[in-house]
Amino acid sequence: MLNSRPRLWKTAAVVFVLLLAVSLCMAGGKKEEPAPESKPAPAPEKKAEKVEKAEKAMIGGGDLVYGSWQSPETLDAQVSGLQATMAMATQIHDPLLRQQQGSTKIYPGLAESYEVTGDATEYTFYLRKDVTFHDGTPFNAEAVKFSLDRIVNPETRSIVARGALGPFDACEVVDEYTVKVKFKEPFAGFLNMCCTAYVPILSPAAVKKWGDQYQFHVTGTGPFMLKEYVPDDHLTLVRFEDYNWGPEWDHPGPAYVDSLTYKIIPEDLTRVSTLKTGETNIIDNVRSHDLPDLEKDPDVKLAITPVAGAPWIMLLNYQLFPTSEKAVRVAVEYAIDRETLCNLLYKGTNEPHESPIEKITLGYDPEIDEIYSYDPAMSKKILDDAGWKVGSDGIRAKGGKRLTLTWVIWPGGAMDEPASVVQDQLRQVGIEIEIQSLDVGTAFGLWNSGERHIAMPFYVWADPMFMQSWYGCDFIGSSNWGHVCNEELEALLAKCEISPDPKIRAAALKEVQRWLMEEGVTVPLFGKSLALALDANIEGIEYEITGLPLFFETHFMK
Amino acid sequence: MGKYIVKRLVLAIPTLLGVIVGAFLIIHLVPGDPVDIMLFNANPTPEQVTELRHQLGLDKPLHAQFGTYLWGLMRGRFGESLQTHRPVSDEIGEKLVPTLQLTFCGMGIAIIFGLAMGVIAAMRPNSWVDNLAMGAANVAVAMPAFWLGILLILLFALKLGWLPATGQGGGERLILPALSIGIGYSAIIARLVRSNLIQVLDRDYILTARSKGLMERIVVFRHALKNALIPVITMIGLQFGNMMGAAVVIETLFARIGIGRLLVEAILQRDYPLIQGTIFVFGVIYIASNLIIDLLYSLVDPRIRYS
Repeated sequence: MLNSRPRLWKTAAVVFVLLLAVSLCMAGGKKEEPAPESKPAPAPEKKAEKVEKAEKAMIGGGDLVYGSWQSPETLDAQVSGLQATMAMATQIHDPLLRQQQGSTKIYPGLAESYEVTGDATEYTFYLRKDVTFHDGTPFNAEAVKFSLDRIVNPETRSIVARGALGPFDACEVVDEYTVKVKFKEPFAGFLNMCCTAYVPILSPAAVKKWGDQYQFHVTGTGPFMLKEYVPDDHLTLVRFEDYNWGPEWDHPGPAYVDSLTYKIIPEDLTRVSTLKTGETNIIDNVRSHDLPDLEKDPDVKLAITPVAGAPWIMLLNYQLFPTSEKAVRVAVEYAIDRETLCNLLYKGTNEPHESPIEKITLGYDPEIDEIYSYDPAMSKKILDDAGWKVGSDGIRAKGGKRLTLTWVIWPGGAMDEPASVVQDQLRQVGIEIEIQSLDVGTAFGLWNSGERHIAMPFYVWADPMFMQSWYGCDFIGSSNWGHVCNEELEALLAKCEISPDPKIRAAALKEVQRWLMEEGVTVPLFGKSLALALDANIEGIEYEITGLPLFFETHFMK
Repeated sequence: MGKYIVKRLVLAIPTLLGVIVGAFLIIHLVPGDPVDIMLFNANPTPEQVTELRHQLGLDKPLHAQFGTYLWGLMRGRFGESLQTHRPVSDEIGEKLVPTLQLTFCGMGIAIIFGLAMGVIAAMRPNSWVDNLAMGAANVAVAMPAFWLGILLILLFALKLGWLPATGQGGGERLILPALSIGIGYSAIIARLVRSNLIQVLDRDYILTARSKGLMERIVVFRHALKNALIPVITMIGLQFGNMMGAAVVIETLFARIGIGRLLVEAILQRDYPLIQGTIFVFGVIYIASNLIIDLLYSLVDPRIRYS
């Protein structure tokens, strides 16, 4: 065309001007907040005065709005497989017993006391007599039996709660407030599970009344009761006024806040925005790249809490060459610089970790952390000694086979970042990693089939019983993603569940961990933490042993 | 006309059957097992896995599962979601309306802005108005809806505080999501309207209308625009289905419930009944919107008559 050239320039100029205009609108810094007045440092005071002062500074009531990244698939905590449901269920249901993070001491919950036989096959609970459900029906041994039976009933299709009951045999009502739980095999982990929302006690009347609509009328004994549930959108809980059986270290009576609403906001940026616009006052799953911005905001504070269970960990396929070679696995252990990984990706949230069990979980032992250290020279030596010669492109080979490991991940699992960093670190010692990012269903199928070398799970669980299913021969194809099966290990694993005494279990778990680390079967990377961002005037959030937040003691400050 | 509609509806049945069979086969043959995915957090024993698979009817052979599904469909039952155990019809019913709301609103914005920009540009071709409009259209087409959505949140929700960043329903909560979807499509419509209208305005009968002394406004709107719109209507009809699919990203960003998001999550979890039900509904919508567009032609162009 005759006039195409000047036309092109004109269009380009217009586009440029528009882009400039758009970017100018976006830039220009944030709204300036007025600087907070500096408060004088408090003088030392006696505890009673402090508590009285705290209560005076509190605003009673108020509405908490929590922005949750994950949507529950069902509110029925006995059926669900998702953490989001447990986070909500733990406000609606009370546990039979209570624990505080970092301690193995067991406190009363719905049960005033308990007994367990020496071989951990029989537990007896002596229940409180003053508890009622949200629907007014009484809490008693029948309700406990009903709840446990419902979990193991195949028609309930329970996912996570079923695992919490392990080799359950039967539940027996001894008298109105005494109940006995029997197991087919020693099951020492049951005590820890009773301290979580994973064994929820439901109102039998409510379950019978609502049938398959029960998840919209979930009824427990907890400090908050369900008012409204719109799937994938929000969940509203209100204070249970008759509540008077909270933890002994908290205040008596019902919860402080009037209501607790969970809003489902899957997108990170949107969730953080809602905290700033006031649509929420607490959000979870805060990413480390959001931290600097949130730290600067005087109206926001952060709560980073450790989580129990297994850390983020690489499981190396015990049966597939070349990870079937011990030298290769041990070389991987020495080649990973966890400090750099965490500084790069998780500054302020996750910490490096070097044993198969999280720090606040029973069985964690700092001696296991000492087994390896970051030592690439050692890694290279081990590989050299095993006959893996460095090739022209820096990657080792032996007998014509390249030292290439396949690693299957899925998008949305936040796995791509640590995988890339590890890939780079392993390349330095001559190991090539091929990362395959597939959709979760396909990827997970490959983890189970054992056709790839590396799987990277983590696990939130109150008790180290998961070690059985991660490393036991029976679980290859379901949760033993490292496909490890070894007689010596099986014998060591068996010792972990035979006694309820935490000291005996911890000693047995130490042996298991030592075996796993020395064999290089598991390569722990970093610990998981729960990262919450909340309005600065909210106080009193406590945490279950798993790291899930509890809002019974939570209140607004003036 | 009536006979035509009946004929189209009858033809829709084998199409929908094809959609059902296709969806069923593809999702069952793709690797990935819904039971494994469900039990990811559960550390199940192999017995628990087998038990759950049996409870959900997933251990039966494929043709038996399809037979059961088809039999249910004929009685109007779409089955239960494997994840939530709720009837698929409930899940879809709750989520279809918000997506339709978002899509219609987005399409409305796209049509209004697109027509306006296209007509203005076509009436003054190669002027600064035309260049500005088409430049803006180029930028809008190049912007991913998701990115635009983030910018809108940053500007209108965070910086200015005029509109909320999330939420269901209409009114102020629908504005930002609808804009995010609508702006990109408005650009496509604008460009098409402009080029078609310029061509039509070049025709002899337009010259006749002008030489008759008619006002330019009447020439454009009463005589030219209708003829320019036929390809545009086709495109709007095709884009409607696409827009419903694109809504999934916007629904996730703005935390709105919707059928796009439902489908994506169902696929990731291999929730077979939910996937099949949702694809079936998408199929019905595609067929219906195509039929409506075809019927609209005969309104716009009297030469087109269906027997």
